[in-house]
Amino acid sequence: MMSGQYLHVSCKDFSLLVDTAQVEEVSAFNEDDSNAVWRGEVLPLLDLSALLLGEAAHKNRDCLILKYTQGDAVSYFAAAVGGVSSIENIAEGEFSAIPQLAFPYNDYFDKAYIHPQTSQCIYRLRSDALFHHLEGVNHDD
Amino acid sequence: MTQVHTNTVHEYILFRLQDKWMAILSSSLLEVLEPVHVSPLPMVPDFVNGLINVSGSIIPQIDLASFIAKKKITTQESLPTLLIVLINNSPVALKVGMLQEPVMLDDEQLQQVEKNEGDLPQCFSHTFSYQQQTASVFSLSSLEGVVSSDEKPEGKKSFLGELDDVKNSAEVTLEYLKFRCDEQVYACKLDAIHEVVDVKTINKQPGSADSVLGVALIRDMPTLVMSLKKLLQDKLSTKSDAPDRLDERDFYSLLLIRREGIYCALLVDEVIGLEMVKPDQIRQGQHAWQQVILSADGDTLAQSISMADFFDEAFSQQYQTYMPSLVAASTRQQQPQAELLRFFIGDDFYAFYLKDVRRILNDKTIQPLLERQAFLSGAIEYEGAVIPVIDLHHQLGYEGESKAYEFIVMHYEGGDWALAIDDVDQIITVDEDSIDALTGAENAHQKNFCIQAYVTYQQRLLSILDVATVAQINLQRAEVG
Repeated sequence: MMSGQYLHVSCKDFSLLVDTAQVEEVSAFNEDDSNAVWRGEVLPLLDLSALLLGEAAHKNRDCLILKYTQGDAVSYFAAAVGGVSSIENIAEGEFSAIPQLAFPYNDYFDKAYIHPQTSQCIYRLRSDALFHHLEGVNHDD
Repeated sequence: MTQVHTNTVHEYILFRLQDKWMAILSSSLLEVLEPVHVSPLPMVPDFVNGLINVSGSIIPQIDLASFIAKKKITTQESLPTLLIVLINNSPVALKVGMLQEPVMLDDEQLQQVEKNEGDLPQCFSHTFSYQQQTASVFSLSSLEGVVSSDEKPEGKKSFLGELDDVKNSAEVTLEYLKFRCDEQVYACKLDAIHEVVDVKTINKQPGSADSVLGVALIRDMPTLVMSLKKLLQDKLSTKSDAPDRLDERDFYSLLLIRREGIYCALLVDEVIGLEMVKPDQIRQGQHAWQQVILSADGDTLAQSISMADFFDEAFSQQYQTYMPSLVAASTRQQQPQAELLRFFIGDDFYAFYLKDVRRILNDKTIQPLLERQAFLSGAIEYEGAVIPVIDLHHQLGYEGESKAYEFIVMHYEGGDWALAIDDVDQIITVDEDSIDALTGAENAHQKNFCIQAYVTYQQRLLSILDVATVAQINLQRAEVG
């Protein structure tokens, strides 16, 4: 069965899975800047805790440098999370469908993995969701 | 020609929510579950608790109290329950309070809720009277805007199987209570019977009508006991010369009837049990109050009595003279009441305030501790977590082996505790004024005395236990140990 590799990250009470194919690097950030500097390049910074909870994780957060490919164009941006827990190998068949509710969470997550020990639902981040969110924010600006 | 009434009867699932009675149509119900681990969900309103895993399928859990109030309700329901229902063809869990017996209601018993009527939000379709209170029927269609898709979820097969099959398999059946009277089997709709009780004593009421056998004390209320045998003879005009007399029995089985203007108990020979009856099994009898229930082979299963027609206005007028007025009872109902969960340890009655009880569990295996501490006998699984079990039997000083058939889950100091007890009896309501709190109740925990108050219920003494003291003794001893 085809298995994918995911970064298990947490934002307060929520646990998320991010496809490692999207992750370029993980680093620690302590500053409150709205931008992150990576390899000399200023990247837009998105705080996932602020997006999901309306409450930014200001200190000791981890930062993911994420890559988004659209045709030949490759874009990078930084996503701050509460913390990175582990790397998980999860087969596609181990994911469960999530209910379609009339709220925006379906725009950000496509499936969930039920942790076998804790029964907690870990939501899988849609690969393009954060990029489109940033694009929307930039357009609004 | 006898006119046949064609009232539609539906079964409703009754539950408590925020100290009110509420109901949903039972045909909408797929499953009832104990609360399970909830994974919170971002970007949803407060009334969506999150997602739960039910046999591998992930479904949303709605906090019904918050949905109705349109704001976050933090008050914990005692004995919370999950009702799994279908909304837009998708299963959804509704978190409600304690579940009650289903009730059968016909159209006449339901009052339609007009839009913007009173304080009721529009999520209620009807109201009806239940135990002298107003119960509201929650309209599941008000949740349709929450579950946006009517497509079946992808991925793993639903724990419910094919959803269409479930819908088609719903059959309308009516619950009847069967009983024996004068060597005949009779039945009546379960919801027409207020309660079935056994009493040991019936006091005679000299000089009353032939059908009146006496008065019994039921739930501290004097209740007129009537002979069903004699009433049937009167209705069928097959009068017997001799009045029905009370024979000597170990106990008397009574059907309690509570209708407008009527509160009485009917003496029967024996209560047989429940029978699920399909509408096509019922044939109209000779009289409006009389029906016949047939088996699949066409044999007569029971004579059915329609209590609404049997206890008509003429009956009320005829027997009103002999009925207690219930003034004392209605006065009592206006007084502040306390709900208690009564249980046995040995032959003694104990109780906790119902507001302190989170859940009652049974069929749980106690995992023993490596080293026994205080009165902790082990641990059990509860909502995906492991919680300590207190052996209340030993903690209260009883000797011998505890049966520990059931567990009462309580919350104290940020954690859940399971109290192993012999048997949960029932939930009772008492006047708050009748509870005698111990003089030193505030300092009781310092002396490790678990009883905080006493109350007399049905002439039996009940000791009300203090959750904090029960738990604290185990905390202290575990720390010392």
